[in-house]
Amino acid sequence: MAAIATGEIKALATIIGDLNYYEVLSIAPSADANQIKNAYYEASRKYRPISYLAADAATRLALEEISKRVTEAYTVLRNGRRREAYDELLKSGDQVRMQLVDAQAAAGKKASEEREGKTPNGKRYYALCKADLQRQDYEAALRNLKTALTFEPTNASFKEQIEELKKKVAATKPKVHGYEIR
Amino acid sequence: MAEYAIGIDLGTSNSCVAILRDGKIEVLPNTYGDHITASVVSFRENGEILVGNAAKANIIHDPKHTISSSKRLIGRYFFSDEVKKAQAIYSYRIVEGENHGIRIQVRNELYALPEISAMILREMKAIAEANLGQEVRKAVITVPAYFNDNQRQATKDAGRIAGLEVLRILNEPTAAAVAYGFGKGLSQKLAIYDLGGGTFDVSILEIGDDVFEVLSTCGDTFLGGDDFDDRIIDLLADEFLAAEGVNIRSDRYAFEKLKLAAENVKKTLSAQQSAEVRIPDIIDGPDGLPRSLQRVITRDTFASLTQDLVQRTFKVCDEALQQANLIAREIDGVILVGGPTRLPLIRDAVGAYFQKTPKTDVDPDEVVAMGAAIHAASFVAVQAPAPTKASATAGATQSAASASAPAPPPSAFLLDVTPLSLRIGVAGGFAETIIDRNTPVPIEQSRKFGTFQDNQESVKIRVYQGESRTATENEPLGEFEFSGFKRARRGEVEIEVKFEIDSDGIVNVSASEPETGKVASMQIRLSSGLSDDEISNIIAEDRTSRVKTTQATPRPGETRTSAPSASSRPAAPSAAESYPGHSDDLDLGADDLAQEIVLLDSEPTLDLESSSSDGLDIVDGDLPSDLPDLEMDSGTESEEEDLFAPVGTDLSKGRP
Ligand SMILES: Nc1ncnc2c1ncn2[C@@H]1O[C@H](COP(=O)(O)OP(=O)(O)O)[C@@H](O)[C@H]1O
Ligand SMILES: [Mg+2]
Repeated sequence: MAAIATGEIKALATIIGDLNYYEVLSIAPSADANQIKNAYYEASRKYRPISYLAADAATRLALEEISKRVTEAYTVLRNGRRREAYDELLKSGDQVRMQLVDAQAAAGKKASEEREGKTPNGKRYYALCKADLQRQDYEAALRNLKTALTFEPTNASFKEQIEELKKKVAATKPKVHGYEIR
Repeated sequence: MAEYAIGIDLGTSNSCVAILRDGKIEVLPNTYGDHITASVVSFRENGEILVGNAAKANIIHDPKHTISSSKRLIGRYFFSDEVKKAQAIYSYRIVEGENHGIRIQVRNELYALPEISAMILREMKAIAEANLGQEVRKAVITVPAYFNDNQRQATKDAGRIAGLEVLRILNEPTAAAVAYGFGKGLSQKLAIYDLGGGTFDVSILEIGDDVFEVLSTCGDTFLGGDDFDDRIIDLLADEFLAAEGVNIRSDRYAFEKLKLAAENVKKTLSAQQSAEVRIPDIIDGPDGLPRSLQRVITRDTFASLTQDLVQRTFKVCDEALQQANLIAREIDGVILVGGPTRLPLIRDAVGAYFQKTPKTDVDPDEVVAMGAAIHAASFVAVQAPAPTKASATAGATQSAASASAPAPPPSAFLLDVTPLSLRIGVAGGFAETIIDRNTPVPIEQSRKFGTFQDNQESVKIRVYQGESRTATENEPLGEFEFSGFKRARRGEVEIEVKFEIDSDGIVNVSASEPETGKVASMQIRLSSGLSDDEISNIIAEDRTSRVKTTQATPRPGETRTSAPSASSRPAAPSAAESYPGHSDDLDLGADDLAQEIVLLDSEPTLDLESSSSDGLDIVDGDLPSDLPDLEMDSGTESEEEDLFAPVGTDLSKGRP
């Protein structure tokens, strides 16, 4: 990786406050999680001050400024719900920065909205799943939750809860080791 | 002559120094040929100061003047639990210094913790110089990932006092990962399991070729190899008491012997199925005749004594994995760090937990220093042609050519996280999160705050690190005042506070009033720590030069004095007045309504504590506004004042 000219670094530092997080990381708004991570790594290689030890103080300050924005962009975009909240912010106005606590709070809200389902059928099957859980019938709960997911295929909370349930089911299934049967 | 930069693992129990030279990592041995040196400092009657193994040998004979485990105290407040614990365990005198700081009293002299650490660093520097045959001035020093800003700053100060330019404060687990993965082009997720003498740290990292990204880090600062010793000590002392009717704990000398024996048993069990303790005439019985202690301890006994300690490490691992949004099975490799990880008991348990045999190809005692050395080298590699003053002529032509085009560095890019949430104190005794723990650094965040009362003249910005919403349950980092803004009704003055955590994990905070553009800024300085002036004084007084090194090469420019120099500093207080008055300019969180602030912008923050860094599992019932709570009642206030009532009072109610 070639070092970047100091002029370019300083120029970037002055405008980085106006760039949105996708621009900061030089990725398309449609980038997937892997591309976001790779972009973060690439930007770190490019702008971490350790690459420019011989640089003057102003350049190093500019690098620090860029690095901080790169980290911020990554921290928001790497999480699906934070990213969704950020995309909404971008659409709604001229803001390009989102404070992490706000991003996290918005993500938390989304999570709780999603948890119980957003469509009538999603909600219905989620309610059934919950009832199954009360009875500790994990397999039935899993079935109902999977059904709920078919109505809301993008519901990340359902997906997470399904994973959780799968673990539960696996954990509660009796192990069939011959010598354990009494 | 090439300029070298070393990597130093400044450990609680042991320290280690390494260097990357001609593309090879070398761990540098001390004169005894050991790769690790005890982090112990012993003050002799004649003014000489011993560091390392010679000092450790003094623990039994002169425990009052022999300082071990000083790292547990560095960057702490005198009122912290750590101090109480240390006072119970160690025989050296721990007294209160200025600003709730800690001093070690040795005869009639007082030493600040960074000064003690500087003596160890100086010895490590001397070891390096003896091996390299030239002066070394630059170093990367490692700290536990879990160190807060105060502890990091104090460690940096120690480096300065030792005459080192601290290139970087690096987290130990990150260093370990670098030592393991550097130059291998790996693409892996790693867990670093570091069980030291007194602390436990676990970090989850992802390596992508030359990038080392820390995904999460968690720790327990009250869990380490020493706790394993304690279990053996308890067993032996209890059995002895039952059999012989004497309590070994009541005799300091006997107890030190037992402690040493217990540690040896533990170490022996790393290599053998059982270990025998045999201490002849350890103590006199009730009849005045000497009694001996003899007992065989098997691995099984040891395992059952310490099972819960091992389980506690996995609680921390659970947390770290959850914060990294991973499950144990997804970890590609486990690296062990720290002396106790030599125990088969630990190795097996760790293997079972991660469902993976831990890597044993790196030495758990050396891996951290090795990583630090690799990182240190990348700081000098780029400047390689830069001449020192002495060799200026020889290097001049080269350096002119390279000044404009820095060479591509053989670097590892370390993307670390902050281990603790950064918070600001607001009205009501709360601490609002600004930067959540396990957020990558460097990072900058800002928040808008408003005044709490009409016509308020100034605000006090109090900064904390920790995971509690209650301000006083966190570690106070420092505070500063901001004034001179317009007078207005409560909440109408808008103050923007900017928080920054740099790549070393060090915190900067500044406040401004956007309307007038007025700015107040400060680097949060260790409130219990040393001022720049104090550091300069310590350097000028140069007590660290009394360290009688056993290393061969004399340090350039050093005058060796064997007698203590006449001290320009105040003598130590007598026992009766062992708490020198503290200065009042820092009252660490005592509420003053006239300077209080409230959070202005946006929604009330959630308590993010239970959330993973990726935002799962937010508690949803907990949302409603905090604001009603902010109405102060005097009860809270006085309680608060109580909590910070300093100096010489009953410490047991000082902090929860
Ligand atoms: N071979 C061994 N087996 C078990 N424990 C050991 C062994 N060697 C050292 N220890 C223990 O390791 C601890 C010190 O670990 P170390 O990694 O040096 O700590 P620190 O990083 O805190 O300085 C001590 O409790 C010591 O008794
Ligand atoms: Mg260590």
